[in-house]
Amino acid sequence: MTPELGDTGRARRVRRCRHVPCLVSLLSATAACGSVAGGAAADPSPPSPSDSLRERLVALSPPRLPPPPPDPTNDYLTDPRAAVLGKKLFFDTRFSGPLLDEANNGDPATLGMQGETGKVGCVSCHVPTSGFSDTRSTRAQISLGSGWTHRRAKSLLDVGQSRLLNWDGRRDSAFSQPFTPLEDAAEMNSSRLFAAQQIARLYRNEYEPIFGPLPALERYRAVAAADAGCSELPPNLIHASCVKPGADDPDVTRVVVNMGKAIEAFTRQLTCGPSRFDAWMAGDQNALSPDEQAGAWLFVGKGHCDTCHSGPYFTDRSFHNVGLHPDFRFFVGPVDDPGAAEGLGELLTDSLNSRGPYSDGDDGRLDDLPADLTSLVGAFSTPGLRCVARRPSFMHTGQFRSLEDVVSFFARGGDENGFLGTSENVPRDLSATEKAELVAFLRALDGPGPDAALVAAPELPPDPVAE
Amino acid sequence: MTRRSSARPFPMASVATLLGVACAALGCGDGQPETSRAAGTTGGSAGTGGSGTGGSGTGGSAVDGGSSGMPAMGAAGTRSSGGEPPMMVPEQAPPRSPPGSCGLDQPAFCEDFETPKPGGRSGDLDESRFSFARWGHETRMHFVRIPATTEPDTLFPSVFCGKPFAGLLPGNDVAICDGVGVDGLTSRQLNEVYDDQADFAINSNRIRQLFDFTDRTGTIVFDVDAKVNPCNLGHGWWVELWITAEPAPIPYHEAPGVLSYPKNGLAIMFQGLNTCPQGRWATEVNGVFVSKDFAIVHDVPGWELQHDSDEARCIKVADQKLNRFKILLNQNQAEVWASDYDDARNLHRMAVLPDLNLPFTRGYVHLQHSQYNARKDRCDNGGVTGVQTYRWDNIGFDGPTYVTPRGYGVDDNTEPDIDGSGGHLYGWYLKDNSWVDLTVKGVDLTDATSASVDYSFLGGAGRVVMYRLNGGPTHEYEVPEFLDGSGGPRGGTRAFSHEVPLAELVPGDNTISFMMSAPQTEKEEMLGNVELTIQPSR
Repeated sequence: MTPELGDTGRARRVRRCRHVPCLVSLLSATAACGSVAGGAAADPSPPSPSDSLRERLVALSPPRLPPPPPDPTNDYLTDPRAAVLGKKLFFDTRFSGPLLDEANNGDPATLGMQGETGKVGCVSCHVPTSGFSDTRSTRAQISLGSGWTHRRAKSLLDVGQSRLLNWDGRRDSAFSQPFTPLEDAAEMNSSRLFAAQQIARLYRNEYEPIFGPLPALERYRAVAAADAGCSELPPNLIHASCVKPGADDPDVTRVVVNMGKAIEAFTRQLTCGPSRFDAWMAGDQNALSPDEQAGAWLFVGKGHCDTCHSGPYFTDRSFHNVGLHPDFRFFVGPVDDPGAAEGLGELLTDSLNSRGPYSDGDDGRLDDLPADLTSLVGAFSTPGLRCVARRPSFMHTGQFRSLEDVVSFFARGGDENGFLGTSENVPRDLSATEKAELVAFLRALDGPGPDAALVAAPELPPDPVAE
Repeated sequence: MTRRSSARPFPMASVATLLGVACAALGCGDGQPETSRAAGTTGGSAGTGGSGTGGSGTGGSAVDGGSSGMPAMGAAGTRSSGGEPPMMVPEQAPPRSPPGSCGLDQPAFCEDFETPKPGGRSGDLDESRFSFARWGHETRMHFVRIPATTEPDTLFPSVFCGKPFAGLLPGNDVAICDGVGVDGLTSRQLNEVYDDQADFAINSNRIRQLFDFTDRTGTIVFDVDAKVNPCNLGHGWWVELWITAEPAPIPYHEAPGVLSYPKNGLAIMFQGLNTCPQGRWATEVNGVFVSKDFAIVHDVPGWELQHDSDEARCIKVADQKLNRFKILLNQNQAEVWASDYDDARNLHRMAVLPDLNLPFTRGYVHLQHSQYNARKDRCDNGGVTGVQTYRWDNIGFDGPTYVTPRGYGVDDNTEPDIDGSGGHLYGWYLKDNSWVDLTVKGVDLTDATSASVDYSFLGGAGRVVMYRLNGGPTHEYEVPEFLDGSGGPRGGTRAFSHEVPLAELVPGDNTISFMMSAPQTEKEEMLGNVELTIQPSR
């Protein structure tokens, strides 16, 4: 059942649909990507169904996985010093404020006890040994930082492929992304001024050779970690934070922006890598089991999975409402999450976006966002699927604990109600055997993961006070 | 449930229906049948157009008359839904079932709690039939319970054996006393209570006898006042049913400090998020878990289960008012049937749990009272109590009758006031350089065919627990990872059961010793709820 390879012309046409110009159509039509590809005017004779399926498989596995595309918003991407600094910042928890939720009780699955500071970092919810996803937090669902977050921490493998970040597209530049966890009361519960002051205390010697002299932060009172963020959890909000001194200071913000640029230089190296599926597509007949092969054909066939999970990284980089009744039964209670309708709206007015003064370049990534974002109520980004089996839970809420449950969810066309917006999901007529074959295929998308050197914890600079 | 007094008949249904009419008209809030109201004046039903008690449109099975009325799997009843005016119905005779039957035609196990068996760590509970386990926690202190006391200034203050209480600690927190059963008559029931200590906490009661549903649909029944926190915003109290292949204590899904998946198990959780049409005093099946080899393979929220109607998925509940539950189970599907608190005669199907594909067909039934930091939620300008009592009665199941294993619990640690405020340490710290010796007394090895050591363990994956019997050979058990093996070492309380060689046991007193592998980097590696289980041939 190995598909025939070599029809690169058709493959290119399909791939074209993955890029931002396809975004608007994808936002409004479930089968948009397939429609655009299949309707290419240059080919007056549509391929037969079998050719079409084969073509769609080829689109998922090019001969060589493309590297992360250039990111003009960050001039420091290729600076190895920035990558080294970024890795340290990724692993360093000393930028965080107090843990607020009582669930922080000191157990190993928590980051410390309520009231303790300096416990949360990127590494806390993007665990390097677990595919940079969160296998620490209990129930492996939503993450427990300072408090319970409302969305699952995404895996960072292949994050360099993404332009619109976060489940709701709230960030369009990797350098701005750290502002979200840093200032979120439920995540690091900190502030940009405290982070900038910590850079001056802990990383001046590494920061300044890359980014130039730090600003004169002495005009601010030194912020204690206990005062870095909120003193209590805001009620039931997504990405809620407390306004702190320095929030409007461009000098302070610039320091955190540069932190983000260094972190991006590190994280864009994190990849899943080629899978057995790619080996099969390259001609190794034995690379996939019969069940996995059947799952591959289902993925592009009656499963219609590649409608959204398209391209070499199995994502259309877009946002979809799949009709998911969010499950916050246990820890955080119900919450209405508008998803991309809100996230993209905030992005467009954010001075930290790719058009703003902190960006080193604008490649027009925001130009194709739809003017009316209300169509995206309840829509969330399409996650890539390479190394998907490493994740402890699935969907933006993390409420599914197995790929079997995920496939069953999509097979039944999502939930009937209990979610915001309008679902694009439709039932798929899949037998139990076919669902099992799809799961087998998804498990075959695992790759070698990032190099061990990227996973290993770096040595962090000592705290001057503790010396 | 055996009738012990000729208490008043059971006019509650009609009274409640009448009050429901009044509340619907006058707006009695959420219909909470306040326990502080005068006896006999149970509150309204929130005016939902309840089914009444005349049997119209309930589609459920009666529990009276010794006829179990077992609903056949898949024989869905349809319950009359809202929109109809509440019916005024005549009083009716209370449901009855023969003593000792628990409402089952052919019970393999039935416990009606008419005979207290005081002593041991389980209060009045008969430890030859049940294994009782606790999970309690304070910051940096595990296996700790603080005294449970009625909190009169909070919303929903609890009573114990019908009365306010103070200072209840393990041993005194489980009692059998009089109460009104589902038949409206006074009988004895099991009361258990705790203070959740602003965290997760569990009381878990396991039936020692094996429940077998191999190649059949088995039935489990129980009565409980299945209330939930009416202010639930993610915190509160609820009951759960677990069935596990091993006799390990406290199966539970993940929570901080509790990562106690059973190796193979099924859980049905009865909770709610204030989405029931009956109002805030209503319970639904809000989650189903299936674990296989320490990984959750199905985690299904209640709304993804099959329901006959929006109203039927919920039952009306009230403090101290028992609901009757009946679970039908085979390897691939389960159905949950239950009654409203004010209409115990009629059970309706709350949910169908399809596609379970359970990795076992015989297991142990655990009935659990769980809480999560109930004080954290507020409503109606009030704070919620963190102390709750559940009342249990008529616990039983059908099927093959197996010889009940003999269980020998290790007496709890009794280190008092560990936290300076009355906290009671009932577990044991483990070391990497010395054995912790625990004694089980009076072990009877007559006709023994197998034995296991069962316990709750706190520690991380990858750590090695060493244990031995009577100074014999050391056995090692590496704490397994869970989920998909993708995580690093994580800690929490786990549920373990290890088969041990009979040859290492002696009749009479036995010593079970535990130690951890070196080096021990976590200060708190602990265990509790330790038992020796002997399976006899007859």
